[in-house]
Amino acid sequence: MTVVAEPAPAVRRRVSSALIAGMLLVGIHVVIALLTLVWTPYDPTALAGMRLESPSLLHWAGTDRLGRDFFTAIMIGSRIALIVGIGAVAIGALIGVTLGVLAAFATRLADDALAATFDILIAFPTLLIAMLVVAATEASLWSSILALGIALSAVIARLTRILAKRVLAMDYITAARTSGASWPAIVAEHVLPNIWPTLAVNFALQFGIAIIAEASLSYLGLGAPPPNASWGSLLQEAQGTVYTAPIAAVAPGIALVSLVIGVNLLADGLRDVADPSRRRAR
Amino acid sequence: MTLLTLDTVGFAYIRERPTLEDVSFSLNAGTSLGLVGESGSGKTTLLRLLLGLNRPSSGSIRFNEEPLAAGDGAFMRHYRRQVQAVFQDPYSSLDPRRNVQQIVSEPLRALGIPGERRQMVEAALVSVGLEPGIVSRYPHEFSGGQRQRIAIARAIVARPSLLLADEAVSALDLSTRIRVVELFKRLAAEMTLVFVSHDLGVVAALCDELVILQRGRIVEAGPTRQILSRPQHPYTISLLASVPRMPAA
Amino acid sequence: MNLLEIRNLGIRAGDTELVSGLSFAIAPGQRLGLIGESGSGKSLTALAAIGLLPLGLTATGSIRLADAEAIGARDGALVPLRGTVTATVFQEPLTALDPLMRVGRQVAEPLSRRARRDGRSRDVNHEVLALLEQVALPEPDRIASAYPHEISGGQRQRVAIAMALACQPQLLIADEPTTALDVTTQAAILELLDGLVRERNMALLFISHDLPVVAGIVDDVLVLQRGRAVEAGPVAKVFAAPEAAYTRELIGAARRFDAELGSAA
Repeated sequence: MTVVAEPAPAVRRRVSSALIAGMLLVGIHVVIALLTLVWTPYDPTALAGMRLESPSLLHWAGTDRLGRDFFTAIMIGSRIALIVGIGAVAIGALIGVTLGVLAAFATRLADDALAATFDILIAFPTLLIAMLVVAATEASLWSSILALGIALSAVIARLTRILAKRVLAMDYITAARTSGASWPAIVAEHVLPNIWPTLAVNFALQFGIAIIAEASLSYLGLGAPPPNASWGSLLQEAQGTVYTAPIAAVAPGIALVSLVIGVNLLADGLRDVADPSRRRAR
Repeated sequence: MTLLTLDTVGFAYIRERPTLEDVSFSLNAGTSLGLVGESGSGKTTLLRLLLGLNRPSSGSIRFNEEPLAAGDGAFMRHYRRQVQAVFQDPYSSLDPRRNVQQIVSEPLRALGIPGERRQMVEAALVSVGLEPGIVSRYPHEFSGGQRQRIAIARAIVARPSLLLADEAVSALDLSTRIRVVELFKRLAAEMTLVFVSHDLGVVAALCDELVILQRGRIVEAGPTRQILSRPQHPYTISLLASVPRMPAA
Repeated sequence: MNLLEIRNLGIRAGDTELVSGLSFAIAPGQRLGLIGESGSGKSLTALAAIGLLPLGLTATGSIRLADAEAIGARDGALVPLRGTVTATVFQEPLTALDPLMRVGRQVAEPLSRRARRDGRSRDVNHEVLALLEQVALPEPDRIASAYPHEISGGQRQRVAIAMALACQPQLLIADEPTTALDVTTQAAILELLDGLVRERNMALLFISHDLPVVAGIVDDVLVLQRGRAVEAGPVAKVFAAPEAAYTRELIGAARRFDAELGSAA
């Protein structure tokens, strides 16, 4: 019986500076990653110079302790980071969205049980879960991706469950049912499209988390071995030479930070863009 | 011809506190019935039972002499072709991510109704007073009154014989409300209408017969004119007395 | 001196004008009804009057609250005026009260603040019960120890009215106070408001989209359409002989529904 107010004047969709900066930073890494598929300054495994050379015109970031070109290693790190990020989020989304939607439909008892399960899994540090999975398999790029995907799925499942429940309470779902739509059709046509904008922003954030988590895994020695070495491995190797060749720690650090900041800015910008036409709260 | 019969229908979410008790009435095809009640009267629950979204805890509902088998998929598909609904909140009854064509054609697609869908949607839009060209636009581009018309178009696109309206004009401004009530009046001439509302002025304008609900029970029922001029039950009397009246012209 | 004087009020959100060129005044003891549909700017006007416009909206023109300018004023300057010069009752009783605080404690808050300002003792318990009695709540001590969700919507609105009256305001602003209530409860609350306003000689600014409700409780009306005043005058005159086309449309619609009810009651 409340008088529903007309929606407030719609805010014009603003492509924010966060979005542009984010796209730029991430874009640079994407370009570098794609480039490495066809060209790198040097062969990543080749002993192209003296050990631990300082940055020079020949080797822009110097060489590592075996004499391999460091700049090449950094570039390949971009590719690894992006593969891990995308792979982990994809697996996490596949598992998490499916479980979350199922939980949204569950009856009271099952729903409580599922919600509790998600919360317990989330209570475990992402890294710990990932380490457990990697320990059970062999340390490789794919085990890292799988491990991180599983770790991320709990957060995604919980978010999906809440978003889906909110949508299921809307009148247009009741209208769909009285129009004769089946539940699978309702999920595909109404639930998923409406939770997608918020999920997409969350995926972008998880992307950044996955990259850092992978770097941590590699730093602990559980990540993929060369030639799929990530920035985390480089950071681990740099520990011994941080005073004699600081570039060995600084360069991968800058690369990692720039990508993750870029991803977070992108997520921020996406949130501004996501569905501004949605009605304002009454 | 009797379209709908309710026989001692009861419903309870919790056994000790029934939401509906001993509800019985019948509806003839072509009449418009107003279900009047305030909050806690059970009117929304009754509507959900009529839509097959819940099953009565006791009693029976018959549609066209057949029992309403809410669990039977095939029966419900057939039922839903005949019975459609319009809901209260124009801002939550349309999927914001779907355009008008997709929204209004949903019953056609879901129920597998043959025919040229685009044409049927446009015809429905015209009959609710909207431009057929709006099919590619999205809900947020429309006002509350227009959204409600879109929802009505969705409800009538499959040409149902019974239209259920749950407080369908309560969320609308006065000037819009009167126009949408006029629309319902035109529709009531072509189909049977059950209009749930707490607003006596609205049901008085639309409905031939009234059923007054209080705390899950029917306290009074009969032709609208009769109930308004000679209310019998104390609750009906207090309801009428509480309605704010315009000062004499 | 007028309690509330609004001159050429304009409210904008970015480029959009939500209210423009609005002027009216409320003298002590006067009852004014603000009639409008959604988007008319009536609620925004009330919020602007007490300096509570949402962020992102800007107000221009002049709003004088008992001789203090509200537009551009620091919030600190307006705090002493809220409650004493004017108090507000809002539409939704469910959200007007803190769900985690017992009713009695919520009513006691404005009372003890006022007591502190006046230098009196802050034990306001019996004042709380007296107030709850004044808004015709049965068993005031039971209500005072209850949580908001344990009492009905009508009772919650009575509590909200009690809180508004706690500091003995001179002007009561009521923004759709009965819209969310059942029609039988609405009648009781309107009667309560009418009685309290009369007993305490308060001024009343009653905002609503419901024409018969407004007509029953105020002496003058101002009709708003999309942020502009389209007609003003004594309620009897405006309702009997509306001049503006929009007013005629509204009155006509209200009379249509009213006529359907017949001459009953």
